[in-house]
Amino acid sequence: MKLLDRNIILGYIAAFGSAISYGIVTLVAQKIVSDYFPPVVASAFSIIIGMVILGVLFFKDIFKDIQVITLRAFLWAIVAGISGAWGVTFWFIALNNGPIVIVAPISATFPLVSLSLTYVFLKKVERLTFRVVVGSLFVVLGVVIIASINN
Amino acid sequence: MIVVVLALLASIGFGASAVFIKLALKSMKSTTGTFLSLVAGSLILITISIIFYSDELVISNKIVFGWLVLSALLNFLGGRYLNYTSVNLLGVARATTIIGTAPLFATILAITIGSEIITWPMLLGTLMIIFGLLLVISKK
Repeated sequence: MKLLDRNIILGYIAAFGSAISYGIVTLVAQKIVSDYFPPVVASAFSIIIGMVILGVLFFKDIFKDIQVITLRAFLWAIVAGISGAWGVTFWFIALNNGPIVIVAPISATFPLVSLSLTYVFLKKVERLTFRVVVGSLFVVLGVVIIASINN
Repeated sequence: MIVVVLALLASIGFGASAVFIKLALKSMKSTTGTFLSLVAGSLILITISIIFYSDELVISNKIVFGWLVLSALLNFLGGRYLNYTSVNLLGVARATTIIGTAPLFATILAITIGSEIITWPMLLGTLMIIFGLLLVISKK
């Protein structure tokens, strides 16, 4: 393995930090959904609180950026937010219509969707290597097995 | 069959989000990208909540609020902000593959603090994830 530069190391720390956070929040969300709110309401409250906290913590950065970003970049960020909300909404609708034993493994395949869309939209920006594609397949298969068993 | 389609639609939403944010982050910081995505997402979720759950939009006490703050911190500062930062630094393919391992961490936590027991299929899944991650992380 070659020496990794600083940004790459920070990227890996961020990615694993994100995975751990998402892993922990599953347990917190279970508590909120089982004791207090329907899932969509819990998500709505949670996203508003998250937006306020992030807005306060990074106000200067966001204010500076908003003044100089291109309309195209702004729209892509909005589309990303809509996609995320689309994912959450359909995830809950799926759970309302069927068992989690089917929903969890299928929704765990999202990295493969990202790979396919990367090939389509980011051809010039990001090169997909054989290792990354095979590695992603192994990770998704492993997660599908674990998600199936957990539920 | 409808459940499979709905779950696939969810997967498409989650997967597409990373690609679109990569396009946005060409000219903004990941903090701004995360904030704008939260604004868009919150508008949708608030609208759905008002239409279908208008009677339940009340935070009854401090404990409930505390749980929601914890959820927001983990989901959007720990989860989404770091997610978008890693997409920016590593690229979509590597970042989403690593982030896709979240259920493994949920399982580890459930085993550590809960009553979950390690089974052979769980071990097989974990080994496959580790092997996949090694392939994704390593360079020739």
